[in-house]
Amino acid sequence: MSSSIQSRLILSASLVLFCFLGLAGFVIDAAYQKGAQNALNDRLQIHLYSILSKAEMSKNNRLVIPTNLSEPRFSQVDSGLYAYIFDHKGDIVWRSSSSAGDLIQAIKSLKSGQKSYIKKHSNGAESIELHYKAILENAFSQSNTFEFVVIESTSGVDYQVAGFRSVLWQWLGGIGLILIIVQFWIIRVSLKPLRHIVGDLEKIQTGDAQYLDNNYSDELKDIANTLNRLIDNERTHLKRYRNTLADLAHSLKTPLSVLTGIYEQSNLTSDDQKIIENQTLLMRQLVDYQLQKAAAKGHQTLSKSLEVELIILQIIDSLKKVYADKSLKVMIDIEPKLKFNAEKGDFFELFGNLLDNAFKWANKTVRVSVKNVENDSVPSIQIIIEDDGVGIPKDELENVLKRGIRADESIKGHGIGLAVVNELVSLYNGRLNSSVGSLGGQKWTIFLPYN
Amino acid sequence: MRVLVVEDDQSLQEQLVNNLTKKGFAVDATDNGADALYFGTEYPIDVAIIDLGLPDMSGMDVIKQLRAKDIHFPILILTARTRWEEKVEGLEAGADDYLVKPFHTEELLARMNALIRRSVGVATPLLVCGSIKLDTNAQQVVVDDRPVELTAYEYKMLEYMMLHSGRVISKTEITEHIYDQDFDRDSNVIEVFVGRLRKKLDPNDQHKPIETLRGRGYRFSIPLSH
Repeated sequence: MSSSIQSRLILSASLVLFCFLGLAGFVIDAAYQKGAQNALNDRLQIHLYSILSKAEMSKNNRLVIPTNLSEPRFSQVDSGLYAYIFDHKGDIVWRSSSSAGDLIQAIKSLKSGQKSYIKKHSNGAESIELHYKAILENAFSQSNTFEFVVIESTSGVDYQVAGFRSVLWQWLGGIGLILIIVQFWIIRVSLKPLRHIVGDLEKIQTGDAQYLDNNYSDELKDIANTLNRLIDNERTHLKRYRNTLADLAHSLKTPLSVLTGIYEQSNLTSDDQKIIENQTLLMRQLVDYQLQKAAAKGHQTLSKSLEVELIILQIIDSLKKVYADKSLKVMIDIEPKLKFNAEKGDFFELFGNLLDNAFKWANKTVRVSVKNVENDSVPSIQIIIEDDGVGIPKDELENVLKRGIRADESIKGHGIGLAVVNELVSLYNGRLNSSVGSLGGQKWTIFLPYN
Repeated sequence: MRVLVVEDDQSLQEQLVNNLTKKGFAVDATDNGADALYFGTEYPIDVAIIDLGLPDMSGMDVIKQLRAKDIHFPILILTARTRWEEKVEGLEAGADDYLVKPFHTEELLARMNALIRRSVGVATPLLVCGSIKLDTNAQQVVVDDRPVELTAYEYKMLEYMMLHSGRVISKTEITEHIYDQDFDRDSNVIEVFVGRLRKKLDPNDQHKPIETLRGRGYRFSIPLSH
């Protein structure tokens, strides 16, 4: 069964409608058939009485029936309406001129004044016989028992019922169809607020909206408010989390700065100074690394989509200030309006670290390119950042990208930036490649899949 | 060189003041944003070091307000926060460089010197005026390929004069940029320093690098080559 509410509703309502219309049709059909049957019986009785009223006993005790009866079908051969009269011995004493050689038999057990309807099949046709035994007297009070039989073929009734039935089912079918269409429309209209809220949630997901608006039906307003609170909570929580971590770092680093200052001026031997320096450096890097790792959020269900160009240009402007002495040439090739659904802080870390590295090591030129591509037929963004510096030797690459920091293994000059980049790329299910670029220096190529 | 230190942690502030004073800087220090704004607007500051986490207002706001008042001395952010978003925000607010805590004093000095140089339009760390060469990174002075030993104050005074070569510099200006505020302005210490510098740079009286303009001040007459 389909999981959509709309198809469930339509399916079940249609089922109910189908059963109801079917049963109603069946009942109406049965009632009509019964009515037609009764009407036929009544007609037979009227025919019988009209013959009975015309039958007379002659003086010599013989039955006399006028040749032309009021019902013309009695005089018409094979009209479907026949009449017979039997005497008490069961011999036919009279038959209507419509009748041909039929296999009609009297019911001897019938008592006088008694009626009996018999249904008969012969030659594939169905007919109903009405038998009636009556005692007729002549003027001399001589009485004789006769059995009157009127027969009518049911073909007329069957034809009538069949006609009625086809009209009935056509109407019911038509009404059913109209009701299903109406019901489909009603369900669509009643589910519209749900589709509305789903559409709005999708907008939040893609970052086109911040919150659910308030134009929902009364039943959904509570849900919308709850969802808004949830979204708000998530955002506040993230913000508080980051602030707490940043405060922690702040409070740890100022004492570390003091320590650094003290050992620089102290009278310690250079070996001791080296040890303290390494240890404080390690402490600083541990704080930095764990902080950034904890703050990285990856793809967010409720995060906004970012304009990548804006972030990169902001970072480049800042770095141009910091590395003003180098007066580097920066080549930027970013697909305009390119958006990616990511946490803003994550992208600042990703581009900040990579660009800072490129600016730090470049001699004259830094190149940045971001565009939409298909990577292994997955829609992705491709980020290329390269410089014309010395590049990172292949055997040091692994250490530079290694997650987590170990005192003896951190590479001078690279800090934890690239390890953070590596961590972020895998958080976004992306791929990070290092190569020698066309500028002759370090070239980073990153693929980040959408979703 | 007059430096403004804005740092709310007392021990770190003390350390910074000590280290910078030893290197010949005139230091104004404060632990809050309001005072920082006062010093920044009222004192002839050459460079400021501002911590972002201050008790009364954020360092970011101090920078924004200073820049809004059209104050252009270079600002170095001192921050414990390593997030790029915050670094970029600080630089966009008007800072010129940032240094993440904890840091080495040498690195801080190198960054400060680079900022001071850049603020007067000098791109390289080596200042050259004729045969007088001043290396701002190594803090060494060479005249005619002969190293010259200078005290911290002498070095700072020479650096200031070379950075502003060709311009008349009054005694007050030298006092303000080289000495702390409690310096006695009526003393003849500037004359004494200039005399000593002349002797050290030009013992044979060949180059005559520092002119005296009576009643107006001094001028470093050898132009700075870019």
